[in-house]
Amino acid sequence: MTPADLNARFDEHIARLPGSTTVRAARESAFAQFIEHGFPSRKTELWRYTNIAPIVDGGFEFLPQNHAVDADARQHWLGEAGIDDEGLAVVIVDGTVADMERADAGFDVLTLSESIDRYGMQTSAAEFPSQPFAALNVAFARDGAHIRIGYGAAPGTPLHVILANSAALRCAVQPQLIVDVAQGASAKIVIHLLSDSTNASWVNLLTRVTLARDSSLELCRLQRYGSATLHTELLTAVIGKDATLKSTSLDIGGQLVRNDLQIRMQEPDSSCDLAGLVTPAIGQHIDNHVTIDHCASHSASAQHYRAIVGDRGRAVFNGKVVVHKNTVGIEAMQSSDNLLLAESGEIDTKPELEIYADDVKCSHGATIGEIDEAELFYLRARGIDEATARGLLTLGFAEKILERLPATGARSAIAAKFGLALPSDQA
Amino acid sequence: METDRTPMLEIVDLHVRAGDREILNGLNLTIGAGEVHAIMGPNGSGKSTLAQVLAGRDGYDITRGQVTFLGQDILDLAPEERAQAGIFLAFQYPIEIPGVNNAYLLKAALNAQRKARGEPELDAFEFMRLIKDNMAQMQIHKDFLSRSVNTGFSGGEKKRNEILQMLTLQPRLALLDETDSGLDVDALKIVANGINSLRNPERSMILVTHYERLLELVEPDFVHVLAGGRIVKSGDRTLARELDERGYDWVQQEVQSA
Ligand SMILES: Nc1ncnc2c1ncn2[C@@H]1O[C@H](COP(=O)(O)OP(=O)(O)O)[C@@H](O)[C@H]1O
Ligand SMILES: [Mg+2]
Repeated sequence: MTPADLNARFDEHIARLPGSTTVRAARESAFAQFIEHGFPSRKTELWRYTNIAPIVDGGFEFLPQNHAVDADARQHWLGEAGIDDEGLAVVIVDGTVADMERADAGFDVLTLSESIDRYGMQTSAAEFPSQPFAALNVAFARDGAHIRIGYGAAPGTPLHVILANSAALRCAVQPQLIVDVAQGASAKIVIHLLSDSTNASWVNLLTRVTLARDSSLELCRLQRYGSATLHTELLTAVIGKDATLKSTSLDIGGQLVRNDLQIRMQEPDSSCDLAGLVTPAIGQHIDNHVTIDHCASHSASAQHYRAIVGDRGRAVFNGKVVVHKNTVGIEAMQSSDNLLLAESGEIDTKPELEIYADDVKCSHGATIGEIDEAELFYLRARGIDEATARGLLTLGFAEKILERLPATGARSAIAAKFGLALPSDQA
Repeated sequence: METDRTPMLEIVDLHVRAGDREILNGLNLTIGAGEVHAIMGPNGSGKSTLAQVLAGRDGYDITRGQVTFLGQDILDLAPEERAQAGIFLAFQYPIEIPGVNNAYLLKAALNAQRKARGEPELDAFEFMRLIKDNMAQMQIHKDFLSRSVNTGFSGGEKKRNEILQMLTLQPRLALLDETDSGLDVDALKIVANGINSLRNPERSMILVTHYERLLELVEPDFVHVLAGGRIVKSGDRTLARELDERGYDWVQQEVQSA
């Protein structure tokens, strides 16, 4: 898949992708932005640890038109996500939104093509010049969801968004999620990323969050792909005055997973609290790249990232904090804690601070360790066998992140993945 | 009558090294069923090493000697096998385990031991009933069950937690390593009551302590002084009082002149 191949694909598909001539212009400029630099090179610092060859060499099909998603498929994926069908859930299968209710208890949902018809392409690739995959998403985006939480609304239950991939074809899926939280509103959205065990698609997700004054959003993102799915993602968020974003992500599956987060503390007293757990093993590469821009005074950010790395797994974390000029009272904390279960695993973790102001409280810390011998002995001295003690300690390490997520079988999925023994009634 | 004469624990000529240091050199100690022994001794004399080695801690070289528990040689057993056989160590410094909650640990430990003994595992309801009484006895609040093991606990809470575990696991031999240190008077009473409630003719205890004050509340049958890597003096309760008043120097002088 050379840029020339993509060019041919883009020319072929542009007429069939949703949107008017202005949308078409936005797509063209996004595509031009991508072509200008091509695929990211490992020579650039941001992509140094991430080998994207599986994407470049993947030979993916681009599907320009929506296809039918039947009710059975929708039901199937709801089941896989571990949620019942009550209330509103957005199910997107191989890039196409399945039929759904459109509004429920405070959430107002459009499909992306409806949103594009009404509002045009709301995302401009110029917002993220160093994100070639996100530019590609804007060029090719066909479906997805535009979720709005209206003024002062506070839905009592979370909205689930399921992005499922079942195609036998190797597809390049370019979904877009737009989340607008209006002033004073507060909501929770759970994103489930799922695929069949044989699926080898490339999902290139763009999620764009806007938080108006006094609003709050809790995002939970649960990635449990099969072992052959590829994933790139940009989450951008712009956070307004006194608004708060809480985000927690868990990555279990996938072959190559690269998550970029660009969080902009746009207005005074905005805050964000980000956490993530990745669990790469058996040749998986999972990567979180976070950039937080403190553009306004008294904004606060926190990053809690953890990795459990097994045999031949690779975890990358890069957490960058930029404190802009003319701001005061900024607080930024970051922690990256890593548990290495096998010598063949690899962990790269790096904090970056760029500070252009004086009144700043920043902290960061990174640890890489193995199962602690003293903890292990303590459990064994209580009669718990060594394998079970290791299982308990490994899940105990994950708990700090898992406790922020809904109970959806993540613990047993992690236990199964690393072959952890657990007490008989808990396994 | 055979079992009556088998000691609970018999330590013969135990030599233990860590790195290139000999910590225990020729320690002998026999504990009968139902007996409570206090081991006192200066800081760094090897009391915790003895307790940890008995519980099966890695990282020590046992260069000579035997340890038998209820007639069985235990030095080749894994820590969990010793625990399942009925040995319990209350740690001098209980370990914090973030992310593993107390209820989870207690239930996993109890069921692992029951399973090893061929007894049915307890379900959540049976477990809660058992644990509730023990928690009331140790004056531990029920919130405690959902907190991570020892994480952010005060010194006193950690020690009470050790005794709660002991009450729940009902060991045959309890090794209590300075369970009294760092406790205020009230907490000391609670801990002492917990220990006393487990005393019976089938159960033995070793109390490692610096202070006589625990021994006022939990009366030992025997008191030993550990110094220079071995038991250098043994006596009854009055020895503890004497050590409290006079310190350890006279014991060491007595040993040297002998
Ligand atoms: N694992 C170890 N490696 C090296 N030295 C040790 C180890 N454990 C204990 N020691 C040393 O052995 C001595 C006895 O320690 P310890 O058994 O903790 O004494 P006590 O409990 O009587 O105060 C101390 O000098 C201590 O530093
Ligand atoms: Mg000690």
